[in-house]
Amino acid sequence: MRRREILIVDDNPNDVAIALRALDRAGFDAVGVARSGEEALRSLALGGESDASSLPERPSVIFLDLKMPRVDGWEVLREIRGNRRTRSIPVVILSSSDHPDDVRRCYELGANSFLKKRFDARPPGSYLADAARYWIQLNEAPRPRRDDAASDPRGAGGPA
Amino acid sequence: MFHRFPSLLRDLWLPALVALGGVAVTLVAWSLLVAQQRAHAMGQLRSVADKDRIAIHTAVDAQVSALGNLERFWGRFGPQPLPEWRFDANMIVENSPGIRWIAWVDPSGGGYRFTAPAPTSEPEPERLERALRASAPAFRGPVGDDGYEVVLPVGGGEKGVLLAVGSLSELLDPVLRDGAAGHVVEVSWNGRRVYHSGDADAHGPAWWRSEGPVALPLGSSSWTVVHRPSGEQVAAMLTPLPHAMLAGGVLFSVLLAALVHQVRLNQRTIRFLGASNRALDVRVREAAEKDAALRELNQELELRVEHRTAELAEAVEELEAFNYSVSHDLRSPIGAILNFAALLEEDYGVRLDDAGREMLSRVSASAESALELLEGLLQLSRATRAQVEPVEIDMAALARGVFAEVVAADGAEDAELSVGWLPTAFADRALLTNVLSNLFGNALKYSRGRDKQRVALTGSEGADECVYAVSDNGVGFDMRFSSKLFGVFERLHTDEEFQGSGVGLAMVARIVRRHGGRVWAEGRVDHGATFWFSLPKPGGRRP
Repeated sequence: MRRREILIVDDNPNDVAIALRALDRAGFDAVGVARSGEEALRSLALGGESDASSLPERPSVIFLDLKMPRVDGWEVLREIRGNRRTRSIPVVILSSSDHPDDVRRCYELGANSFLKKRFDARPPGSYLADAARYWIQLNEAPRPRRDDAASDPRGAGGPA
Repeated sequence: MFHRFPSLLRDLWLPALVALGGVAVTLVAWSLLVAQQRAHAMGQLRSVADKDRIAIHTAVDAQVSALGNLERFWGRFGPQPLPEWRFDANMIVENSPGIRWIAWVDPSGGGYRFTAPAPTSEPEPERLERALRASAPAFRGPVGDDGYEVVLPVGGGEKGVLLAVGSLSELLDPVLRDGAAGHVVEVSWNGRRVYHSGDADAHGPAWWRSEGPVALPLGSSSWTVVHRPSGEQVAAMLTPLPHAMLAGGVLFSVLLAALVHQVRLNQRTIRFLGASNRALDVRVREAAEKDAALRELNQELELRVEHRTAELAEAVEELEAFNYSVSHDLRSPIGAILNFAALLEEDYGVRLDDAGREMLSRVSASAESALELLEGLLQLSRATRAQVEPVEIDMAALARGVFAEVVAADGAEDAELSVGWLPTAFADRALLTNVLSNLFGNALKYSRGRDKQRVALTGSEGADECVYAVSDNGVGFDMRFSSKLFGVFERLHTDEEFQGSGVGLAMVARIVRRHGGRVWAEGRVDHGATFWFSLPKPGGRRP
């Protein structure tokens, strides 16, 4: 069984800290953080250059913030979905806005879930751990076909 | 009236001139024609008269000279035997028209000799006496009605007197029968009319007559012969042509004058129309120019208004975008405060004393209410920016559904909604749901604690709009503050009294206004409140 690696892409250190803590408490010990869109693409070996960082190259699930400077979340999502190798990784959008236009655009680009950042969860960030657990379990379940499984259930269990 | 005459003069001088000219020409032509007619008639009459007078003169002369021959014969040769005498005298009587009989009166010689045919009666003794007294030859008359005498002393009076008695009409008839045929001829002798032929009563015009003397032989006074035309001649020669021409000419002149007048009137009308047309043209052109200028100005104004409106819309858009992005960006830091306060309590709560925990919970509560405000602002902004897509909506059904949701969220399970008759609404479904949700939420919130929470939705339909009212039996409000009801973050109650962000009614107002409707409210402290909103009917006023 592969290590259950999670990648968080977010430029907000507060949100990252909460997420890390929540995931850690939930038992996910292999969590990498990309603090910008560029860093995320690099770590996933997308967009040409690749570096030998400690970040997982094929995480089991990616939490992706939308509003980031320069390369934003939609851009990153497009790159992930545009590459054969990363195409089937579940992507959970994590955004402070749940504007219908944003939500629709994310699903159109191939996001699996859309989560609005919540500040009322107790303990804080616990909803992220729930989502991570959901997607990882879904991926590890027996699959009828190899490649399409990841893109099929998009939105099916997503607590949007 | 003062100005009438000059204008009449101006109007009529030319037609009058034309009429006068026409009449003058007609008169001249008429007079020429009449003169010619008269001259012709007179010429004919005169030639007949001249011929007649010569003929009369010749006839009388011939008679007298034949008698003179007889007298000379008798004077030289003395009385012949009676039969021969009578033969000679009868020759004269037969060949001289007019002479009835001839007598030789010779008292000394042999008495009286008469021609045959003998006189119808014995010759009057006075007549014979008078003849005997004549010392010189004479042509005498008139005698009686019709008679005349030629007295010739025979042989210088030594051998008696030759007396020839005749009838003037018999003398003149054969002479005038040929020449004066058709004319009326009168012959006067010593002031007496002695002969007339034709219809003496026929009256031609006074100028048409010819009068002339016929000298008589033997020193007698002359005859005056008058020729006049007969009725038929007058009718034949004095044709009414000149008069007809005169009448026609005058009529023509008058008509011509009328025509000229009409033409002049028409010309003046045309001139007047032309002038007024030109004036009208000028005015139309001026008006068109003014119109064009006005239109230009209008366009400019419209352009400016459009420009300003676009600017305003842009500014509003920017403001809304700013509002949205500020609300959005504030979420993260406030959320972080909330999150870390929660973590602080979780990880270090036990190390804080009561006062510390109290402060921490105040931090959390403040951050929470700030988040709530932001949420409200975001919703408000979204309601403002959303597209309005009006559809027909069954208001009662929608209201029941929304009310059930609000009741579930609020937990006011025994709250009761009464729905009266409601006109069908024409609005954006999502936005109208928002309106009802806010109004019902408000109604439940402010009637909390009542024994029975009662909310009513009623409606009415006007000409242009439908009006709906949501009323409750809650705490109501003071009408003094009604103007603050629909402002953003305006509240009539403290958070301790009633929780709230101050955004709900503002959103209701914005949504209704975006539909082109109005909102207003009425309330009394402790006696409930009613919130009205109107929605325009389709085809009526548009937002």
